[in-house]
Amino acid sequence: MNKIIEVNDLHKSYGKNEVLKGLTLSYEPGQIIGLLGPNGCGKTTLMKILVGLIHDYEGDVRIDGQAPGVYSKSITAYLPERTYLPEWMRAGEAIDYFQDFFADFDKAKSLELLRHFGLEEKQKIKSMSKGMQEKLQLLIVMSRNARLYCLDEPLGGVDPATRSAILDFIMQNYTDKSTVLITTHLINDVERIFNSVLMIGNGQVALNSSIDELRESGKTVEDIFKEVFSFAW
Amino acid sequence: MLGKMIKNEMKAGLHSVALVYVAAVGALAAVAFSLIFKIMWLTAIALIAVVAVALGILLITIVSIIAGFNRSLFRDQGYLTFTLPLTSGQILLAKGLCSFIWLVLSYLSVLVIYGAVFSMTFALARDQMGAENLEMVKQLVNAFVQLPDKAAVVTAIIAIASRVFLLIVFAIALVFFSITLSNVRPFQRQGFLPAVLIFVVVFLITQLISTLLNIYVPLSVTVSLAEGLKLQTQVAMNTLLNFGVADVIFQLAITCFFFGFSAWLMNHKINLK
Repeated sequence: MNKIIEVNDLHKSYGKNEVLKGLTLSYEPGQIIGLLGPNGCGKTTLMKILVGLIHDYEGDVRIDGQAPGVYSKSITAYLPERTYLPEWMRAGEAIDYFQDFFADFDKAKSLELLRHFGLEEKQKIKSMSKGMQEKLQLLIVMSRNARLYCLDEPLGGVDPATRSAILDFIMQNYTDKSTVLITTHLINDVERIFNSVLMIGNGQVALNSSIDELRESGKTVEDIFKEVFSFAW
Repeated sequence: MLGKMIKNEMKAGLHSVALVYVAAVGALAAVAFSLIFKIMWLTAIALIAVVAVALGILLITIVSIIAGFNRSLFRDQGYLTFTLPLTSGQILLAKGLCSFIWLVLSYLSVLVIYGAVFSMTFALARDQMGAENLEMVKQLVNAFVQLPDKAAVVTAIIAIASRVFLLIVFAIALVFFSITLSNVRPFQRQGFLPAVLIFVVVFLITQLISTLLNIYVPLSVTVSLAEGLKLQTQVAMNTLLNFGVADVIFQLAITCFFFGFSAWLMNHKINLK
């Protein structure tokens, strides 16, 4: 079986600022990976490269054995930091939109989740609060039976009460055939669902380890994060 | 997948222009109502509204195409559009085709609106002048105008429509190209100004090349209702009824280049903010 993510010697610069400096990593399917690092370390850039939003990089990137493109996009579900659904749509139309483009989209599941989150099918996205829009995006993304989920700060604008529900929801909706890559600054809240942790600092891999190995040290992921990135503050 | 993209693009376009089409129907209904009940002050107001709405259809269609292209690809929505399992070429093709359909529809709507107003006022004139007097006017007009051959008229209409369609596609391609290029890194943070400047500069350059081609390649086509199409070895006037062959070939080629280069930029140079 192909590795779901394979990155070799990845470099990416914005002008003179080199954000990723020879990143190399690979993952087998069936994991929830926490992608952690201080601000500006390249987490979002790496994610954008994986989902095919950034093309002008150097190095080799493979998703299920193929370079980012039409195939990788068909098996990757991406949740960016921002709200990306067209505002004129209603929640139901956004669901139909995803069903149109993604063969792995489960409409029945999305409608069930819509009710679960207390959202109305007929409600216009424009009239929703930011938190409601984020919930809608998350439930739509997680309604896909994707091979790879890339979730960029999925808990950013969500109240603490809802965070736990969302994490449970992510846990329930991923299968052992799929892989979830999550970036977050809320390490304490999220670390309970991680199988692996990837820490990036200075454009390179600072730590890449399974959660079991980390827990052997008796420290929390947040403690290790603070140790690894002590230079940042 | 392309079909689904086109379907969703048409839907998005409809949301932008639906209201102005409803307004057009309302204004036409007001004109009809005022003519039937002979309320002259309402006729005057309704006719002004019809003219304004007809212009509004064109303007809103153009603005929604430009804004929609920019918003759906290079703002937050781009995060969705560019992660759909489609090639950049498919995205551009769907957007180009839908923009073309909306633009043609807007031109046709303007024609239909003015045609409807003309028919209504013609009917009113017939009532006021009497059918016999109007028939006399028609006969007088026909006496001075020679009725052209039907086949020549059809050929001329096809030629003019093709020319108009090419100009529309060229304009769409240039707009898409300008917006796409303005979202490449050196221009990305300057707002919408680079897109306008690129559009103006590239438009002027293409017009200059067209003019030079018309001058130095004196092979032109003249369209007339009497004779249909006529190939001539003389400098083109560059109008809808008289255009240079080399210029048309250039416009076709540059349109393909604009679409192709925009797709290439999307694949290689676009980094969403």
